[in-house]
Amino acid sequence: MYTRKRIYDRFRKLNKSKDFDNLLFTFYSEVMTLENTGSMVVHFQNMVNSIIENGTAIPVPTRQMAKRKQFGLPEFQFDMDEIKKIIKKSSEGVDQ
Amino acid sequence: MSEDTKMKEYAFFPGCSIPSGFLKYEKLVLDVLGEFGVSVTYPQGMTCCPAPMTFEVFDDDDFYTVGARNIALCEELGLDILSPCNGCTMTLNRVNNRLRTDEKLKEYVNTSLEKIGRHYEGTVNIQSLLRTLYEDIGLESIRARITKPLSGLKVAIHYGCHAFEELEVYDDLHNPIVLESLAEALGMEVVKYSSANECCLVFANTVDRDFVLKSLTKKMNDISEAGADCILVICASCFSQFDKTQEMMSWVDLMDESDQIPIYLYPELLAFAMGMDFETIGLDEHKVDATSLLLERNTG
Repeated sequence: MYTRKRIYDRFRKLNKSKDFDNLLFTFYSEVMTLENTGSMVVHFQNMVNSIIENGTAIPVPTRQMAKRKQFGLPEFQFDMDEIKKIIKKSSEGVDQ
Repeated sequence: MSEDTKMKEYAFFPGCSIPSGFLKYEKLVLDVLGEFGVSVTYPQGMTCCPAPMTFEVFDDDDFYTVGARNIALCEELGLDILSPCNGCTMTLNRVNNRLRTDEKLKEYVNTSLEKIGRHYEGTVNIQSLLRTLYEDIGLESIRARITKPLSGLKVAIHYGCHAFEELEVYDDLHNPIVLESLAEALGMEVVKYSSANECCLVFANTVDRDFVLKSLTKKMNDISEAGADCILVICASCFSQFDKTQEMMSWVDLMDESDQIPIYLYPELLAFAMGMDFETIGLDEHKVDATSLLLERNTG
């Protein structure tokens, strides 16, 4: 909660600043230079874990993949095996 | 498909967000591309591109390896890559551009890919749906297919942050004209507003909702003051952010429901102008009413 509050406070301060241009990359750099980036790092790590485990950063539910035929869309599968063999870390042991 | 249009085939890289929540839009994109003679093949076994701010935050080598694997799948098909996702286009181009010029990193990546019997060579190009519409299909072909021009419709354009790296290659980064030209090809009038390049903040939703609501309220006010009838985007995540956040802004009294501004993905308006019906286009799935504005033109 403390980390979240610090990030909230920083964003609120940024929002009042005339120098802040609201551009994504400025925002990224601001986030990465925060004293405590814990929450965002956890968020990014969760996405990495999801990619390793499910093949996607944003979960694509099985039921959604099953609907593709109904929509007349080509069927395909996300890889969940090969990726585990080519990266340095598995998601095991890095969960927050 | 017009007779003079040559059939072109791409490896289609849908990314994660479109298959997770925009199936009707994905189908519409394929239909529109098909109308202009562009066909696609889905590579099997794709993963996330990987998304910006995931692997690259923790380990560059993994970032390039995962990206190179996705490109390698398309090289095996012998097809250039087309992605409807700006983030995927940006990431895959970053990976491709770096590996084409960094032999040491390419060697590292290929050593990893050997474990799964794959190889990255750097032989295919990557482009967005936006670039495909503008360069492959072209304004003239689009104009020739319009049966319901959107004349007089005032539109505010939002490119989305991840579009800009590619725009730098084939447009003017600081004064882009691609989406403006595509909108004008449908008969629309583009209106300028001061916060056009500001982020939709979709990624910040889970971090600070108040910040997001405040920033987007400012942006929506700018768009409204510019006199726009609607907002035009090319990114499904930006679309979702504007569409859902306007609904939320109305819940918390930051915006009257009557002041909500319809938002469209470019292929939706192109499909409408080409005569496709609302159900095929998928306008019924929008949170903010997107049919009334077009219905006036349908019956007018």
